[in-house]
Amino acid sequence: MSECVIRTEHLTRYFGTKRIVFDLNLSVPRGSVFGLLGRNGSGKTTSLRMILGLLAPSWGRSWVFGEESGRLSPETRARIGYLAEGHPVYGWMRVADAHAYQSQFYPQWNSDLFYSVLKFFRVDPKTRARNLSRGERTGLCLAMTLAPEPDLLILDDPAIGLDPVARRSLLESMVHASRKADRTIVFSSHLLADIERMADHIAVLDYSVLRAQCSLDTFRSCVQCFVLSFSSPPPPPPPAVRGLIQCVVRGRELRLTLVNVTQETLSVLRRMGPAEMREVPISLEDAFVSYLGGSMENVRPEESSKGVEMPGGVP
Amino acid sequence: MMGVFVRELRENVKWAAVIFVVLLAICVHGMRDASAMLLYGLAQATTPFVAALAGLLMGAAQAMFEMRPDNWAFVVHRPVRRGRIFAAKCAAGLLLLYGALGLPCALTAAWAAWPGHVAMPFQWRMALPLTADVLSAGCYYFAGMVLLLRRARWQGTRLLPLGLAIFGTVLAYLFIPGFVAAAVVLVAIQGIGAAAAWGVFSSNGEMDGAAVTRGALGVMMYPGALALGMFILGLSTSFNVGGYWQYYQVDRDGNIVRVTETITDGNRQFAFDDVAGKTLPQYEHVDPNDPAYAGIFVRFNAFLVDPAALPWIARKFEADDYRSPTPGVARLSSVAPPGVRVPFLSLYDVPEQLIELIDPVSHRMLGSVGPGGFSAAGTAPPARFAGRPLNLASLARGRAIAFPSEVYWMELDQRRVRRVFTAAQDDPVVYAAEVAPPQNPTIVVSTRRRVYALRPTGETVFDVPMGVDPAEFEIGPAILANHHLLLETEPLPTHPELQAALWEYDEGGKLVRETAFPRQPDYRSPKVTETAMFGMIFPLAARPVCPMWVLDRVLDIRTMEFAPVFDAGMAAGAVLAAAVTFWIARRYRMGAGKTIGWVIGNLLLGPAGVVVMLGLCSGRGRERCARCGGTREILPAACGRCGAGWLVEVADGREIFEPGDACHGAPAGAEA
Repeated sequence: MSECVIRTEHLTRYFGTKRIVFDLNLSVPRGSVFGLLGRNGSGKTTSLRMILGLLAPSWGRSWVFGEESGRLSPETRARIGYLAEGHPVYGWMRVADAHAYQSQFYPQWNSDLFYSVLKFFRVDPKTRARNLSRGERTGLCLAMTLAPEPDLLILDDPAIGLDPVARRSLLESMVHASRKADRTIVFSSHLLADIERMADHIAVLDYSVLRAQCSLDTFRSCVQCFVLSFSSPPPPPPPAVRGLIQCVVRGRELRLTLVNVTQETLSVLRRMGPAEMREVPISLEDAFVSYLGGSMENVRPEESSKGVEMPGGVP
Repeated sequence: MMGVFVRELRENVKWAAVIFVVLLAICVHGMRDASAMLLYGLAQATTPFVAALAGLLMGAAQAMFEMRPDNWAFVVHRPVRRGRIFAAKCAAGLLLLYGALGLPCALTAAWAAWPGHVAMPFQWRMALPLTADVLSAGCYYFAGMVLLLRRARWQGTRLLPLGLAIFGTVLAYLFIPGFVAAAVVLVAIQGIGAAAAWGVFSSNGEMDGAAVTRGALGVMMYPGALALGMFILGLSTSFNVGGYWQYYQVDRDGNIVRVTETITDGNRQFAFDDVAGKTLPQYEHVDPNDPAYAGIFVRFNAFLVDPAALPWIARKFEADDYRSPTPGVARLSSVAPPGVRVPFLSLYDVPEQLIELIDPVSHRMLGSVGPGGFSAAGTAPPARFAGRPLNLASLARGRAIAFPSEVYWMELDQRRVRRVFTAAQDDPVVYAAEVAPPQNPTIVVSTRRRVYALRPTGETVFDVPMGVDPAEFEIGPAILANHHLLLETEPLPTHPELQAALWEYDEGGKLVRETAFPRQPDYRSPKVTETAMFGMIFPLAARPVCPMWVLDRVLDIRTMEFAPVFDAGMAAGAVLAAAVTFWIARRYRMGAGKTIGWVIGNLLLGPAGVVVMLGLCSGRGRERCARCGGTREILPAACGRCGAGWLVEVADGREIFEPGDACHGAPAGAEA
């Protein structure tokens, strides 16, 4: 347990009548690497923009380093490095110009760090930014974000559109950045491998609503998979199974993915009369896909011969 | 801040170069023609439009990058206040804009000032229209920024902020006589534009900023909304296939003739009757627009006014303003008897108080003519005229040139002027004019108390007491077929209560006839509907302060003639606007204070205010209630059906939260 760097209370944002973020209550501990997870359009970017005071919430409040987001002072902004989605740079500038331009705003600018990140991404300082590849551009943006040595690093989908090599370089840079004591990193992604490799805390946004905020281990332990074998075609799961997020029929087997399994849940499953009921290990990726996608899938049983997925039972 | 300033300069210098090259090319093209009206021509047909487009281009170019929220975040998320970033951005943009526009204009003015380049004595005030045009670019610059950054529908209210820039330019271009006043208006509009642009920039187009910036945006949008209304009005009247007009003419015998012109199914018909309404059969089948009938009605050579009596805004219509073709220099085109050609251009130079003769080939001055006669270029004239001529704009129409103390007859073919009239100390001249025929002209001179008919030799034909106050009327003199002098007295726009009349004098100076023009509004005119419709969009608040005659002249409507109709339309528009505003305020769930404010505001501002309201305010959206399934507001109000608060998003059993917070304690300020 430590002091929190970011805190939000009932943070809500509508664009017109479209709900983007709903009642977000988030706390990010100092020194943590915090992954913000969710599908496209789940509100990750909007949440980060509200936290940085770049977008006014429709309702609710948020604080960064104790200052309300809408009124962040220049001194506090100097402590926050933000890599926006899309990796914006001034295309007409050469990389060296971008360094010269960006460095004049920050009192503690680490040029060595800037150039070492560039070197890592193999970016030529004489190249114009508009001529950089996507990976090189990410490297430049990351270098500009890291060089002020911020206490809080907010990276909005930093790996978007990167090939595996560039993504690996990015992750290694982030690992390097996280070595500094008390530096907090918040990054949003929908790439599970990145999350698994980097994050120690996660928050999961599901269609504008925060569904989970916990450590990665807690998440892993809360999502479980059970296989129920029947002697005859399996019955549909009863709607009373709370926490059921995915149900797949494979022949005479019923494969159920559940969250927050309790004794009561297990007894409900047993009442279905399976010949055998066993828990099977589930990878983190499968857990996430089930968690975020399960409630939205609606595959009819006759659509697949290999295995059919049935709507998750959300009571 | 300097970093942002330099970056903006480097980033946008290419646009400034484009503007510079385009304007310079136009100026160079004008220099090749070497017209005496070079600067006027540029200010009349080129620089207002180039400046507007350049301003829009520069504002849009500077805002283009920030249109994307990510890019905007990259620009503003740095340890500098957003206000300083915005100020540096605008400073760079305006510097480039004014430089790109001002430099070609300055070069052109310097070229025109060089002796021998144009056939016109140069005065620095000739560059003032160009200066005003360059200044007006700033209005469009901020408008361009607001257009791009503000989040609104292009087919909705997004283009409306352009309205203030157009309004300001038109005001400075057409209505404000003085340069300083025009410059003040343009700078004030830029201030409003800057406030609105700051509002949209600082919030990335959300426009959820302070009341001042929202107010500034509203002020920017209002003229646009008004113009939109007028456009719709104009569009609706343009489909009228028929027409009906009535106007007055004076025949060669000095009788007032009322002409009724009607167009039905494309056929134009005329009816003529006298002031009593009696049909005049002698004009049957006459078409007054046909040149074959040009001689049947009197054509007044000039309408003369006492310059001191003109209202401030009307000076614009008398070519006595900073945008006049030749400020401080009046071109004289009728300086010798008919058929006699003179080998020079003649100009009256107001500061020099002399008539200057310019060689049309070399563009150099040959000499000057004053009351003391001709003096060659480079020699001091023996005498100068007594200041600024009266009715400067009418000088080109005749050979008489009048000053308050005296009147001269120009005989520049002999390089001299002849003094034909000297006014008494207590009765100065108000105007003078030559009236037809050119071979045997009469000079009509009016003082405050008397009217004189003179021969060009200075001989007085007659003089009579002035029948009207020259401070209240403009007067058109003409000579009838029977050699009688006819004066038409038309009240100045500032005196709509007075009546126009005709005064006919015989050759002995005896008043033969005085006929008043009838003043009965014709409610069959299609202008009645147009005036009523215009009244509906006209703001109630502007009624006491707006000179209605200006609207009549500019928009070709009849607010003064059909004042009751206009006022009824205006009242209906105001009430309708207030009712619609109330309905919108209720729908948007506004508080009582806001509702009352908007209703009163739009009662005064009219329907255009409603459009502004729609552009500035947004209602609370609605969504399905998570508990009862009914429609409810999205913000924290209770559901109207089930009473549930807004936080009724039910947990679905998937929630994974560790016991307690991931970190302890709220950050400092969290409880504020």
